[in-house]
Amino acid sequence: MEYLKIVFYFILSFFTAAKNIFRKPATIQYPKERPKIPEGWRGREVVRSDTCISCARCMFVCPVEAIDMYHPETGALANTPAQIAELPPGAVGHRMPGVDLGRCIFCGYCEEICPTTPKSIALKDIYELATIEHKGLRHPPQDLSPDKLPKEKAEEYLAHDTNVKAPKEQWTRQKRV
Amino acid sequence: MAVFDITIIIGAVLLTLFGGLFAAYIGLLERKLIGRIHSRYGPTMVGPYGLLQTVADAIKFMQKDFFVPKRADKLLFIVSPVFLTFLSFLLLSYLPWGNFSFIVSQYDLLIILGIVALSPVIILVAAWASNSKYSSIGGLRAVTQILAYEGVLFLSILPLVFISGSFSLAEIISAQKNYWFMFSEPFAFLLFLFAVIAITERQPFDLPEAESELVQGWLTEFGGPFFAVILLGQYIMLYVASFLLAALFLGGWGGAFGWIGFAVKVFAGVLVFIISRATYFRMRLDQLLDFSWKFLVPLGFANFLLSLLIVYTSL
Repeated sequence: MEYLKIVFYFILSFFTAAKNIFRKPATIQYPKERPKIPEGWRGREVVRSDTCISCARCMFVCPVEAIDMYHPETGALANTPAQIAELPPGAVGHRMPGVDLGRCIFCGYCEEICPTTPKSIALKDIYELATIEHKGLRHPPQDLSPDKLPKEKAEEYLAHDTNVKAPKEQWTRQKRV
Repeated sequence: MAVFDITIIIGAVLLTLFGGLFAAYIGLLERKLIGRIHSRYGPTMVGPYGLLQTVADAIKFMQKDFFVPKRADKLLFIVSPVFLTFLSFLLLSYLPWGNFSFIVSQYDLLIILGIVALSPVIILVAAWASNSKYSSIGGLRAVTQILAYEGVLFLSILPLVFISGSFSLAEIISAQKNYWFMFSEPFAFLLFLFAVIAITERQPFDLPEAESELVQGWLTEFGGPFFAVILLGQYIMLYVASFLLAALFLGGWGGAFGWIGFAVKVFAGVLVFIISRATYFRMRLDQLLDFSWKFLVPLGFANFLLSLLIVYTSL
């Protein structure tokens, strides 16, 4: 009886495999096709210069100290009072957050604490973050601005005020070419 | 004595071309089909639908160095893969091609079995010559496996030979006029399938080149051109296996469709080998030998005696 079962499944498995030839491949051919990114995905930050009020709350709340405040005109760091003192007068109000992606854990606290509407710093569905050098992971605020993105993407981001909502579960095999 | 006239030479060139094309495109088909069975695409990038992938692979193999390991036996190392492929082509020359055959013989099936029986010797030589532990383990495995399954192959063919009363392929095919041997000799068919997969070292019985244990088995030290040549030989062996399957058990070119039907049968045989490669898992060596000596060989003898009884009572 046991042997009959083995023989039965031995033959059945052959036809199961043969049937699978007509199944659609599950592969997503990455550079050509891209997976559909679910809503609420926490990818790279986007920093908006027009709404940022330089409150530096994102810098304080960041659990891994990935966010530094920069002075956009000179590119100098402006985290501490001593660093701010070296800047030209009135520079405190022009500081903007820059992110070290080597440290960032994509927790989204900075977006949550941001007091402005729309959020000045927000995590969007940007997931191609590889760089050639380690230095390249330290992004000053200019790098993170929506102007650096392709136009359609930037408009989409600017239209959506924030994405910290209950994320919809829609991680599927659907492809978007 | 063979006369080397122009038809023989043209035929030889066409045969070699056929061997290469068969190896290339059945290899591609195999990769595509197994990819689909695994829900992948298989090769798609080189050429339209990846049609030039195997050509690119062949060019890559040929560009590589003729690398011979330091402690290897140089002469045997170079000669053995060439000789293996030569054996495969020799097998091809005994198979009839329509009404044309390179070497016409009354005993072509017997000669084919004889040539197949030569291959473990050369595999052992190749494994010995490469002087590496993986090669030697793989070579010994190959030899034990092929020796264990050759008996099964002979036992599966014996009843057919007794029923048709001849060792020639054409007569065995003409003996299947009324019914295929696949239906009148189902156990022989089963034995033949197992034996052929084991002798060609294809997937459920690919212990001699078990990748997860032995790198590439007895092929480990053969790189570049040597490997390409051995692979060519293995695909030709696959062709010979499907040819024999179609000729001995599926009625050959006897039916209404003639040679086209025969080509379809050969292709179906190739498909069976490819899908069984994608489906079944590798056995352990002791299970493999147990399966042969304790199950298939007694079954072969019983089947042989039974079919003898039936043949002689019906006479």
